[in-house]
Amino acid sequence: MRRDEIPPGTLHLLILKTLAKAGELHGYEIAESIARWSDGVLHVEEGSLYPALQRMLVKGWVTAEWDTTAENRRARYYRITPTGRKQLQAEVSQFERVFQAITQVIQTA
Amino acid sequence: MLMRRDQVDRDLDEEMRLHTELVERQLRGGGMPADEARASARRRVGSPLRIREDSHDSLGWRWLEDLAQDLRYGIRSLARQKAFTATAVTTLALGIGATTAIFSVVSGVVLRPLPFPRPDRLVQVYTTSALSPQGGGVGAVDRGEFRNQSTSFEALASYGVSARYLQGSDEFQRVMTVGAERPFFSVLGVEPLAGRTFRPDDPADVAVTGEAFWRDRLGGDPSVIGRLITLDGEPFTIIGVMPESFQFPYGAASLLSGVASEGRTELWLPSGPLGQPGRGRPSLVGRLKAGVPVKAAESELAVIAKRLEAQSPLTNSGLGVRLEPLSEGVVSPLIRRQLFVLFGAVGLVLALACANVTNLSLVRMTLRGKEVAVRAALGAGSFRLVRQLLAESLLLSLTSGIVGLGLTWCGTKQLTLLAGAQLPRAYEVGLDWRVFLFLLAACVFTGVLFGLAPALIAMRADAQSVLQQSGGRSTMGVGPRRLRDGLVVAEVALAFVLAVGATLLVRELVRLRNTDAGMVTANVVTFHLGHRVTPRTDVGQFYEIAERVTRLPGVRAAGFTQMLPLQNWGWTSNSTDLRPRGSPAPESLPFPVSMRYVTPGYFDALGIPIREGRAFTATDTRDAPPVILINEALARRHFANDDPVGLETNRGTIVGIVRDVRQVNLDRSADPELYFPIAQNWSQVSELGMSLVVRAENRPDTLVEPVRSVVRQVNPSLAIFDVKTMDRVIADSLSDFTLYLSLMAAFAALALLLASTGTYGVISYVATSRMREFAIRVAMGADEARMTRLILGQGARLTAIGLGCGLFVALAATPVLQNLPVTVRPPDVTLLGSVAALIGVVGIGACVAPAFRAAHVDPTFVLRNE
Repeated sequence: MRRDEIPPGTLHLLILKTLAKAGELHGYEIAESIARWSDGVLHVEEGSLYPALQRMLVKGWVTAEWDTTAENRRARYYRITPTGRKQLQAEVSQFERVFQAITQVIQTA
Repeated sequence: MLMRRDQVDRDLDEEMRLHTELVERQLRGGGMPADEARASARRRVGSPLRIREDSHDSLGWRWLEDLAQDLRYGIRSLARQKAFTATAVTTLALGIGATTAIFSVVSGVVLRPLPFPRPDRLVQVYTTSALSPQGGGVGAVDRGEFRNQSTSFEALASYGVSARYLQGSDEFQRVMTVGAERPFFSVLGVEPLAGRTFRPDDPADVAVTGEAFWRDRLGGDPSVIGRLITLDGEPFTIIGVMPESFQFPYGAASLLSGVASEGRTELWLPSGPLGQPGRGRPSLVGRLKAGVPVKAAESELAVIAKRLEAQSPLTNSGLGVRLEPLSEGVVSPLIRRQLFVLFGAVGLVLALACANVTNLSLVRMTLRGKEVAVRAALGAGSFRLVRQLLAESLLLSLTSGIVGLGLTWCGTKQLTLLAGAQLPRAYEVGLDWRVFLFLLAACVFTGVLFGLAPALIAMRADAQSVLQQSGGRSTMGVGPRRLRDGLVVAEVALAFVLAVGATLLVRELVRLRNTDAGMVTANVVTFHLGHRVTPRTDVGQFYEIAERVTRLPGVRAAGFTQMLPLQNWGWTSNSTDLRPRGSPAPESLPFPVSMRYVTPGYFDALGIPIREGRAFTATDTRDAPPVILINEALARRHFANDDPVGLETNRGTIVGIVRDVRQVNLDRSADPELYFPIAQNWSQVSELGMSLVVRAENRPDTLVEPVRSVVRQVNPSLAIFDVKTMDRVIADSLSDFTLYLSLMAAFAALALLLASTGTYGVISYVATSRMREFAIRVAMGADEARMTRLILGQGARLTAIGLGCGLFVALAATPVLQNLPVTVRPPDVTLLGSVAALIGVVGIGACVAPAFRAAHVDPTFVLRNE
């Protein structure tokens, strides 16, 4: 299966949207969810996922708490905060604007 | 924060472990064998270290971590290469320390504002005339008019320097005093350390002392206010003590140079009785009102001066005004330029030190090429690499700065001690924040300078090619090689420039030392006698002393003068007085004429020949007709073709012509001069001290005590001071130049040393890195002479190119010489040639050892060890 790179600048958007939809997820689940919901097209690199999560923690868009998985493994679960939701909204509308503009450019060509 | 970082790292590691496991399980679920799934999962997740670093990066910790690491690496690698570190630190510390020491002087004397509030509003006021276009002090009448009519000033105050005699318990001490108008302290805006300064209604018998005087002569007594001291037989009440930092007027001694031996003002006294203007033409300082530019005040005073000239054209003919910011009045543009030239010279030494260390680190970089390549291959970014190398060089330069600070501290102390009497504001020189800032800037600048080149080369290096090279040997690429050769060329050139400068100065010193000053100074000892202490002193006593000293065993001749030659001091009149008695003033423009007052024995004592006519004799007394002598310069200038001897002038009958003596300084030919017998001009002379000149058969030092006792017998209240041989007087007249010269010579020597070690380092590196090639050459039959030529040739080529560039720079820099304390003639071919030869010999000499090693290479040994 061909995997496409995530367009630059959209990783935060995808993570926030995933958390907003699913509530509470650990790192692996976030990556899996993004892959599943994009029908396997978008693949998040582990090398960018965890640093991005750290950054978002620092910015206060997500919170993290240690808990146990169904198989009794310790895992860090992430959850979106109100600030994160606001950020998500901002990023979604920005993305839509840019996306629409790009579509327009492509179609008029 | 470090605790937190560990926590974050642990959390991250655990997360990553789980993630990897889950990926692995997923792959196995897809039918992959277990071990393959594990490897694949690891590959996919990537290096946990990298993720950790990226996370740190995202938290903004990266910078700090890297810095700490860079420093750690730097310390480790510098500590490993002790020889390199020691050499580099020594070289740089010398350069940085010397430069900072000179900067501290420049900063204290030139850059720092004068230590008064709003110093920009303080100005020095001069009145000018046709005879003195530069201007001088301002007389009482003009001062009064300026004060009444001008609106530009908050206040004006005159001040003048004079030596007075303080009555101690058993003897008289000479002190430097400043007679100042009562607003003096408020114009400057300074506060006393204790007590108070002058009030407008203070009587004339109060005194403000300097801190040093209070400490050394009054025992630092805190209850000194109100105490009486006796100056010239009159009592003065001490009303205040000024802090040591207050030294205005600066260099009171140099205003009376030769008369004084120390640079400090010891007492400030009100000038004259209350309500009466002082006599003479003292200096004038003023504080401008806020917002009044110097130029505006100057033109206002000029208008007033024009008015004064119109009112009394006889006394005020050609009266003009010149205003100068006080900072310029205190530190003349000439002194500024001299300091800047010195600073430039020491800057060149620092540049040389940098070049040397750059070369060292280039060589080191080549040897470390592999280390850098390995780091690059392991994923160190080029930016990171450059940063690490820069951190290393900064570490090195800062260490040198700390070592150099010690040097600066000693150097600054020595400099202020040596220059204290000659350099205004020398007592204000110290290590303040400006100096530290400069030191820091010098460190950073040099660190970046010598660190950047190797770092950039390292960054460009291609890891693969370096690693593929067979182990052990590494040579420089073309770029570094060019840089290295260029540095040697630059070092030779700079050393040449400094050496030419120092040689020029030495040549001038030799010239001045050999200048015929017009007198014979061997076996001559001089004494200063202060005689204001007693009104009973009369002129007969001086004749008596001279006569009795002449009769002492071992004395050939003795005589008094006011003042000694080479003191840059004297009375000045002008040539109009020299007209034949009774004739009207000549039309031609008068020129200045110096006046000397002597007793008959003076010319014999200093071996000044009488060219024509006769010298003064004991019969030229007050009652005899007035007589004068003129010097050759005056005879030439004023009486071109006529024989002046016998001419009766307004000043007296010219009875003879004496040989020209360099009175002002050795560098300046004699001014036109008049000599008067002291006996006929006592009222003119009695104000100031007198110098006794004694010529001995031999051993003049044995005469000091007998002379002292003669003086005591004749008049016990005469103060004797500044006992010096005449040779010493001449040497002292050159002391500022000698100091300047020794600094320049020291810098040139340092530059030469640095350039030669630099050349040695490079050539010896070249020789070592080409050892294999040499071994092959020797094995193929090259003989020793050929090998020696090969290496020496390389050194000679670099030296020759350096000398060529240096010659160019030296010739271009010749105008700088105009700023030095004495006339310096531009370099000639002989001088340039001999300096070039010296540097050539030193440069090639530095290559002898490497050449010898190369010539005696043992091919079997070298080639086997490859």
